[in-house]
Amino acid sequence: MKLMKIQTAPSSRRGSAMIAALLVVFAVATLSMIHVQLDLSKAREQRTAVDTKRAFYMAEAGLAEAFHGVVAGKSGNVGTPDEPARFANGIFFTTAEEEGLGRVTLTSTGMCGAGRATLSIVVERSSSAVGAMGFFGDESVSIEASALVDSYDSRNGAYSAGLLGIGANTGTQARVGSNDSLMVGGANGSTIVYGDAQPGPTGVLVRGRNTTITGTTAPFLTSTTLEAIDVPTYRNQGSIATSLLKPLVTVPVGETAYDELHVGALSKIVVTGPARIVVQNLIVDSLGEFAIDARKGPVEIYVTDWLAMKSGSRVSTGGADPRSVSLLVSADEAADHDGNGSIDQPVVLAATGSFEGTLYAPGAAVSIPSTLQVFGAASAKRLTIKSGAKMHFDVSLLEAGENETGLPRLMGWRLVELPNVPVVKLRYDALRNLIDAGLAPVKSATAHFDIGIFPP
Amino acid sequence: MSDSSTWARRRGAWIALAILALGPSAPAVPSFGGPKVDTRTPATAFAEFAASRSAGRSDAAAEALASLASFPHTLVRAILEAAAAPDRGADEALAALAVLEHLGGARDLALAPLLWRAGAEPELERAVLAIARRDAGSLSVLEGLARAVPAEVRLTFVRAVEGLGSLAAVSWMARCAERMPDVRPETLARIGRLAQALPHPAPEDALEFVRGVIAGFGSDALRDAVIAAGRMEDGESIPHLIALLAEEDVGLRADAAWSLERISGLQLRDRADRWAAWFEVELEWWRERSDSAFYELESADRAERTCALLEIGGRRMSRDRLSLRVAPLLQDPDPTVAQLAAQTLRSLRSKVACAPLVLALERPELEVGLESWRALRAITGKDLPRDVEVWRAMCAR
Repeated sequence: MKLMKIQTAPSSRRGSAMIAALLVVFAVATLSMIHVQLDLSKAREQRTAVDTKRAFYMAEAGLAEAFHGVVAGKSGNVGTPDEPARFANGIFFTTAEEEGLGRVTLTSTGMCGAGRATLSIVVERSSSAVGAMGFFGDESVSIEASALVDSYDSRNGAYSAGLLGIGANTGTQARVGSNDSLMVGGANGSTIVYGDAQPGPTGVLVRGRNTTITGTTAPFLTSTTLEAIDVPTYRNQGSIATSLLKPLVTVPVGETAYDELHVGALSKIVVTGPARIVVQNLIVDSLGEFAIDARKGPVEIYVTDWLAMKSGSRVSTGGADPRSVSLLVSADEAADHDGNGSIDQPVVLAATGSFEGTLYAPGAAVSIPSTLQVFGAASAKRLTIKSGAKMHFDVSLLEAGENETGLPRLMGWRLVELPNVPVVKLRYDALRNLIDAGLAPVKSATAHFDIGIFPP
Repeated sequence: MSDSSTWARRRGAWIALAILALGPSAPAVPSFGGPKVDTRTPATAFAEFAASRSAGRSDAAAEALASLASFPHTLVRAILEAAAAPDRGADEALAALAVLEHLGGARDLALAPLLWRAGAEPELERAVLAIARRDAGSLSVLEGLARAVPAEVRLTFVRAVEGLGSLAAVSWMARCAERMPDVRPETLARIGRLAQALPHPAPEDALEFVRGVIAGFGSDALRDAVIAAGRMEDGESIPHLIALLAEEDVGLRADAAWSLERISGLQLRDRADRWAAWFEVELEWWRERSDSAFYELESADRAERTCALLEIGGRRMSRDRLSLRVAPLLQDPDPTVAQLAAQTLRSLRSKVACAPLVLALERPELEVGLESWRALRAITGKDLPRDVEVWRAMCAR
């Protein structure tokens, strides 16, 4: 039998192919590993980039949420670094910092996955209301000698000079302005404006002796138009007149119109809010009292022909929030309203007492006597603050009220550094970390803070 | 009464009527129908004028005034002097002021303060202004007079002179403020307002006075001077204003910042460091580069002129001087250079460029006209149509 001869390699060559194959396999494996590593690295890079972009948009969402809050009357604080607000698959917290004059800096930090971003904007809660102008005269403003104009914030309580300044609710943010010239002070007595006194673009500020103005006196760059009053139309209820036999009359709440409200001597008319009243003639005789009670709602009174608060009469608003009381006089023509043969100005203010609210008479000259303290604001065609009078501008009028539709104005935008807080330093997904730690962030819409409530 | 004297009186009456018609507050004047013999004496005519004026009968007052105008001026003046006596009533004094307003000249100005009564500042102001408008020599008379009158009258003089609305009035007010500290604050405020309304630059003596008040810190009128410097857009005040930004007084800082913003057109708020840094850069440019830039403006090479315009357009200090240098290029034969010159003037925003820009509106090249129009709108803040005559009238005002 012929045996098949198996040829074998020499012992010196045995396994060489294996080695080569192994080398190839090893090389391929190494290359694969490198490729995988590169891929992973690329993927990580991409994920980081995506997370950073998401975090950026998360911060933007935080700013938008805070802006919305400011519009809705909130403080602008949304969430906190310890308890951020949740939005989709990320979290954010926004802080609001008051800069004064209605400006707020909103700073939002957004976190999504490993991404972090912080953005900041400045918004101005400017008000389009006439009250925001302070004490304003279209044609002129005259502040006579020994008068005082200062400011306070009704949100912090009633006006108070405090004891030696302690517990005081006063400020230096008063606003006095005109579209033309401004006269402050006189020959005698010291006149003080704790705030700005600005003439119009082509006006001039004339200061008397011993006059102090703590704010700017620079002219306005543009004029301000005193808009005509849009008087609403309601069902006419005739006239109301008080007398000794009927010494107290309460005007019912709601929207009504009258020919005349006439408060006789030793009697009183009370207007209770919420009320919107249109009246042709509002007359308060000497020793009569006109009271506004805005505790249950705002009061708006439109006077179309004649507002006469005669010498010795009394006006009171019961410590109302100045944002809740408006006295709007659309009358602009002098006429003999009382039939005594002499011409009467459309606004006669000689009353005693205090008025917390906004007085607006764009077509009439208004002279505020020293016996009547105004807490709020007053605008007129020509405004005179008589000698010795005390006016207190309410800075809360600078901010848009709840009835105003004006949006806060965006003043500036910037990227800022990440804040030095623990949640930002979490290495990976902050939301996952918080959930794992048993802290479930609340939804952004419910994470707002009200004005005056500061985040912990 | 002879025919010639009657004729003379009638002629005087017609002159008075003409004055009334041109005057600022002329009452309605009746037409004289047919020949009418005027039997009034100066005294009765003045008495009738005073009575009619008090009673609000403007027609009768105008007639009496016309009659008064027909008499020789010395007679009228004697009547007014008598009315100025302290024992005479206020109505008579005010009537005499009204006569001065219509018939007075510079030599009568000395009577005006004597006729003034407390509360009659508006009447005095009207009389002084009317005389100053009629008689060019009034300013020098007023200057001497202002030293000898009470502060209220001095202020009334200042207000009246401001009403003249001229560069000479600005200089007069500056001299008045310099010599009389009691009227300085209000006068400075009025200087600023008047200078703002007039073509730039303001008179150098007024500018120097304002700078002096700002530099002499502590004056009662400091804040008024700061605002005046801003309204006059006085570049030389910049270092003083920057120094004021370091003061503790918040209001003063705000005013200084406002003036700096107005002078420069920049919005650096009240940050003294930023203003100082900007000022340093501007100074360096004026020291190192301005001469060559101005030289290049006159170069025959279009590229050099263009580069110089671009360089100057970025400057904010001494905008009046820069604008005066740039303005001739509005008439450059190359429309592109002229257009760029208009753009540069627009960014410099100096009122001295208004007149040359109005001229450039007439250039046939559309792009030059359009750019000049844009510049005029930006500088003046007026949204007027692209009409040369409209802009010329505006600039003349």
